[in-house]
Amino acid sequence: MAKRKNGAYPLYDRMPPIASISEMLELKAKTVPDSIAFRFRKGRDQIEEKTYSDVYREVRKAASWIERNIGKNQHIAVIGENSYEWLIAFFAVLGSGNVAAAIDKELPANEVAWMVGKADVTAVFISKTYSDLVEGIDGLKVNTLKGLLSASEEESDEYALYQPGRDEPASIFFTSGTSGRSKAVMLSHGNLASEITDVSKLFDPEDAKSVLAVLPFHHTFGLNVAILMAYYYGVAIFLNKSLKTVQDDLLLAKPDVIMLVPMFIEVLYKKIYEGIKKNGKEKKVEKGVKLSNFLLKLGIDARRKLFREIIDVFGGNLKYIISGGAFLDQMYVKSYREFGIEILNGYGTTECSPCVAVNRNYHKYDGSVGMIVPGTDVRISPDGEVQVKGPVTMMGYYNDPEATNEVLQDGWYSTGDLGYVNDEGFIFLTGRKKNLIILSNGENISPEELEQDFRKDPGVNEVLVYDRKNMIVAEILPEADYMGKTEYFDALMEKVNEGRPAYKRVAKVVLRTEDFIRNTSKKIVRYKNIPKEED
Amino acid sequence: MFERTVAILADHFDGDASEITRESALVDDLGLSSLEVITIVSEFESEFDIEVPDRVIPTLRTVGDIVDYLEKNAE
Repeated sequence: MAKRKNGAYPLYDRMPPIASISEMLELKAKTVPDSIAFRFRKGRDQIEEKTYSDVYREVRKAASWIERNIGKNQHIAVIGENSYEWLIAFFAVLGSGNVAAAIDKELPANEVAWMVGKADVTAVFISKTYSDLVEGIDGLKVNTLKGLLSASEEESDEYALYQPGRDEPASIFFTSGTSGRSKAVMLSHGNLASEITDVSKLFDPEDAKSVLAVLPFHHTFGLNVAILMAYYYGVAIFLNKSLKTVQDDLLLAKPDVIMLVPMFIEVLYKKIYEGIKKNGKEKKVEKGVKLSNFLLKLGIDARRKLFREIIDVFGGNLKYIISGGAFLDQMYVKSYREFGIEILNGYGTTECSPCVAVNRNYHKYDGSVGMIVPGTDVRISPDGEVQVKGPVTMMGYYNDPEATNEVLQDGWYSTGDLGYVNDEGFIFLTGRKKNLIILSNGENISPEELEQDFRKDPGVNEVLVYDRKNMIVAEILPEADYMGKTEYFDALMEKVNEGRPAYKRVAKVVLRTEDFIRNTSKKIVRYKNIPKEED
Repeated sequence: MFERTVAILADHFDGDASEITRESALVDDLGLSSLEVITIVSEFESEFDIEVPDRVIPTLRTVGDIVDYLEKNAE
């Protein structure tokens, strides 16, 4: 494809629309039956491949087994590490006319039991490794993920997958609960289908030949974007089963595209720099970046040659990282770009299936979380909150009309994020509404804005900004070499405060010695870390 | 075992490796992120030719925890 300058261009509309996951499985099995859909490790050294026709056949068999042994219109949980079996179970639950509840395997057993109860789950497919999580839950039919595949071998592969209406429930995902107890988000078949077809209009499939899936499937980003959308494109997906093998899997999968959360992007970046430092190539890389930036001004892109060794860490073909799930520091976008890897930052929430906006291959803005997904409407409320309405907004929180009414009114979902939309339909976020610090003088401050500036400093590992008795406090976890260096951080505070109006200035820095409390997605749980006023 | 463990950890630790003790906490003292701990575990797997189940990883909080695990499970 010819090099394109950054700017508006039409949407991609190359693939037939689908109304459900089952329809997508059938479509791919008919149009590209022998192409590779999934690749994954079998044992340590073997790679197994499954074609679109294999997947369709195995899903039909498994769906037939589920209907005969569990029934229809049931809520069935799927729990386990990322695997081919997990996906077949998820697809088969939907294809047999049931609702799939995706539950995090890393949660303690009591949390899992709470979710099973909350979502009215009657049966579960769980990997053997985690089967103890559901032991002792009354009335729950328990099967292993592998067991489903072997038990359904004798089933008919002529089973007709259930063809649902768009508004029928398909799956339940749990929010990560950084602001309290997690909620059960009910997504319809139409939500999933729209997420896949609408979001894919923004991304050029020509740029994707291989995807490595590393994000957990119980998250909508890890499943709906990294798996379902890639499947719809017809891109071979390499399934990473354990984070321990990410680096080896990058070399095996040689992905063009990876979907990642910012934490991965940061760790991989650190890894690259450790490598550069270890090999004494800091000066060489610095010179390379200068030369490459100069050449880019002349219209010559030599980045992939100059930084071959760095790109090889990612398997050698990586062009795009699609980032979502948390705030991404722009510093990483710039740094990866210098090496020839473009980070396309996106924005979404579980309640929106998840994607609301994403930067496009050749139409993107630094600092933006991307262009609004076609078919979805976004408006900004009078108090600055981003609200979303469209085919990707959830049906509601399952069995929780009160919580649903709090966030969903006349079809508009209130995201809790503050931001604005530019005249080209790109969203820019400024902070979280609930994090907004409102001082007694009525001034509002987004802590994220200040945190972003602190994080740019090499001495800062993590930071949380909050107010304490009408005074803004920055609580910092320093990097190992900077522990306890009070003067250094006081000077940093002065630097961050520079040029800010008086009400936006940080008054005090508190240094931590231990990491902040995080949830299983490794996100900092803000409310658990901010000390109570009376402390 | 302790020396071999430290030799692997030292590559990921910005400070002075001689400061690493059995009691050093991987996240709080060595400044590793939880994701880095996972990738380091994969280095232990190749070095000692063992497989550490994913569910064990969160229980490895200190250098001593790793040493004890290796002593118990590696040849």
